Amino acid sequence: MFVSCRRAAQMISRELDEPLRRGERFALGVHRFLCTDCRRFSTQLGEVEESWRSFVRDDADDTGEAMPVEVKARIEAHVREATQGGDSTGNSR
Amino acid sequence: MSRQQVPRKGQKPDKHIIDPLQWVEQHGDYLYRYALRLVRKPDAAEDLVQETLLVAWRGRDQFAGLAQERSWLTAILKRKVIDWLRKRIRERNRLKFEDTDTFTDDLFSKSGKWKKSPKRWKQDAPETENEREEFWETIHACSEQMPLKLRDAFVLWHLEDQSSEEVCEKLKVKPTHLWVLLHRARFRMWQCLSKKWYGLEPS
Repeated sequence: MFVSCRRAAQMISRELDEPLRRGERFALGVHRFLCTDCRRFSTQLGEVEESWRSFVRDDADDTGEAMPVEVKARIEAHVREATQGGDSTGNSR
Repeated sequence: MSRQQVPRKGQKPDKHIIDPLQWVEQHGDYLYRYALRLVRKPDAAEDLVQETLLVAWRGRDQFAGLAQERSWLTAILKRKVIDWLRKRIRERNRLKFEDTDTFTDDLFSKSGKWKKSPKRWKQDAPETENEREEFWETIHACSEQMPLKLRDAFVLWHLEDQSSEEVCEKLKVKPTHLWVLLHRARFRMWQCLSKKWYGLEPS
């Protein structure tokens, strides 16, 4: 049931994505119990995952930069062109 | 979707006036920032926001004010980003396996032990608004440094609310391959954030 730190680290990562098989879970549990390095790594990797994940999934904050003026102008022009003409709900401001 | 809330064609839209130019005004910056965060290409982000607004416009009857306008637009944008990333991955076949990447293996000795023990972090996770902003910047910088395919794999994996089988099938990769990519991406992010954000205790 002995696994190396290299192998344990792989399982620590995979554990974040899917449940491990029972044998793997057990082997990892034992390893983590005995190995300070991997225990610390496991906590840290979990935190990194959580942060990066919310960076990806959460919607942008309201505090960052605005889109460049020229980008906004182009988008506005395009939207105006595509949505005007014939439809009653297309009244612009 | 209810009839009362949606102005029928030919009627005056009295209850819920939908104005796509207003969307640009109110949500444009927000959507653009989010798109840019995920695809990292300004021109692509612009296209994605534009398409999102047009899709939303065409589907405006489905909206009917049931959700927040912004979350509705963001949901459409997410779909667009997923499609865009998948396309980029497929076109360049960039998830193709390369075994020359020894980044993670290099952290371990031949016998599989850590070459350098992971160190204790000095800093805590960000708490204040300002810290958070700075923290996002750091994640950003770290994700810039890693190979594109690793970042794309991670982003796609977390944006899709789907099982690994489905994601793998769409990307045409084997699950074991996806795990390796995610593993490599995470290791890099871990190492980068440990250095740039958390700071390490001297051993």
